[in-house]
Amino acid sequence: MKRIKAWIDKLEKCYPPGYAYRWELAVTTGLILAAVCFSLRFLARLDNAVSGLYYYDSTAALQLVPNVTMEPFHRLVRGSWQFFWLPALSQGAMAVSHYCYYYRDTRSIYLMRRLPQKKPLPRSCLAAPLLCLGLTTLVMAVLWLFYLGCYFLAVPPQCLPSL
Amino acid sequence: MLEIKNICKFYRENPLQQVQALKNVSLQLARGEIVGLFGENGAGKTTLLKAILGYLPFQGEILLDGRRIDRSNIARLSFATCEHSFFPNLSPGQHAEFYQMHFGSFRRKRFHALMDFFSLPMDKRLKAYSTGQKNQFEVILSLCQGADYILMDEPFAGNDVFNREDFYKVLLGILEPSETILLSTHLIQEVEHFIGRAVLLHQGTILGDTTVLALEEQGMSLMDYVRETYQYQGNRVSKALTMSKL
Repeated sequence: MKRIKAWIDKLEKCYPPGYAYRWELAVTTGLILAAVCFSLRFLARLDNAVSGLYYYDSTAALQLVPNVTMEPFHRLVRGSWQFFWLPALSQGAMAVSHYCYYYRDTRSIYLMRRLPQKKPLPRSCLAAPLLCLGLTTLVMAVLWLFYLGCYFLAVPPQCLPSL
Repeated sequence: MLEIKNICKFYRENPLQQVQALKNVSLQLARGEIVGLFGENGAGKTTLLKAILGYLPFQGEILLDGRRIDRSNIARLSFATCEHSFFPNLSPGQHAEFYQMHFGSFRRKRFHALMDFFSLPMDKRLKAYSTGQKNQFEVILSLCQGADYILMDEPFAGNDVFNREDFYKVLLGILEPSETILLSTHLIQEVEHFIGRAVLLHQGTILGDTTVLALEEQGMSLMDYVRETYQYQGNRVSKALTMSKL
């Protein structure tokens, strides 16, 4: 827990000075978690599709349907990513919000534009959204690998579709 | 030296019309000068300051010791504005750390001395400061950045007269001979004993540029000089009222 808190504190450098970044992080995390929850419906679709490979014979034994082919993975996994556009697109809004922060209450943009270094202003606007975009992509990639693993574990080799 | 050469600035009021805010303004500021920049509302004072700092595109040339102002020398200019350029959610202590990180010549000693003198709390977020305190802090930041040229745009709007008096005295006491101030203000009579030179701007052009010493030799106050330069008719209000009664 302490480590997570320390890591979150380090993220402060990616935001404009004094920005309420914890709230924004919480919103982004919530959106990603919501997208993951919706995406997990793939497991239900996989279960459904795998169930369709089997039937109960006259002795009530579970048998594989002869010459049956499982639905291809890419078709099954389609639609698992539809809610990930929410955290992804929201990063664009966050970047704009970071820039607008320099015009809120005061004109701290005057200070940022006078800094001798070129990077602080764009970094404070874009670093966190790009990080969150990267995190969203990473979560999607991990989920995709997990779903692929589940697919190959659940589907009998003889039912796998040809490439 | 800060050289401002033939600066022109146009603002587009609407797609068909543009207004010229600065018309071939040329000015030189030597190190160590304390210059008052005066002019009516809309004269172009703020536009001139923002053009010097590179916040606005303009035509003409602005040189700092013979070089254009860019990231390599921008730290030699600081800015205090009535709009405030600090971060409202940070404390003064956090601002000091920020300035230390980004401006190598930040004057920490002067910063703490001024904060103590004006009894400004170091750990309170600036959002919770009063308007007068915010103005004070804004000026303190500009004085402690370590800049050679300190530009101030009506920094004391909202401060009481005693507060302003204190500030002028403190400024005269702490400024080093190499520090230059360009102060835009309407408080002509107050700053008369503080500034060494007065530049008068009117509708985007420099109408007058004189030293306080020259005015003293002529037996003229700054206010008289301003009235004379602007050809201000003190009796125009009473004239207009008389005409309206007739």
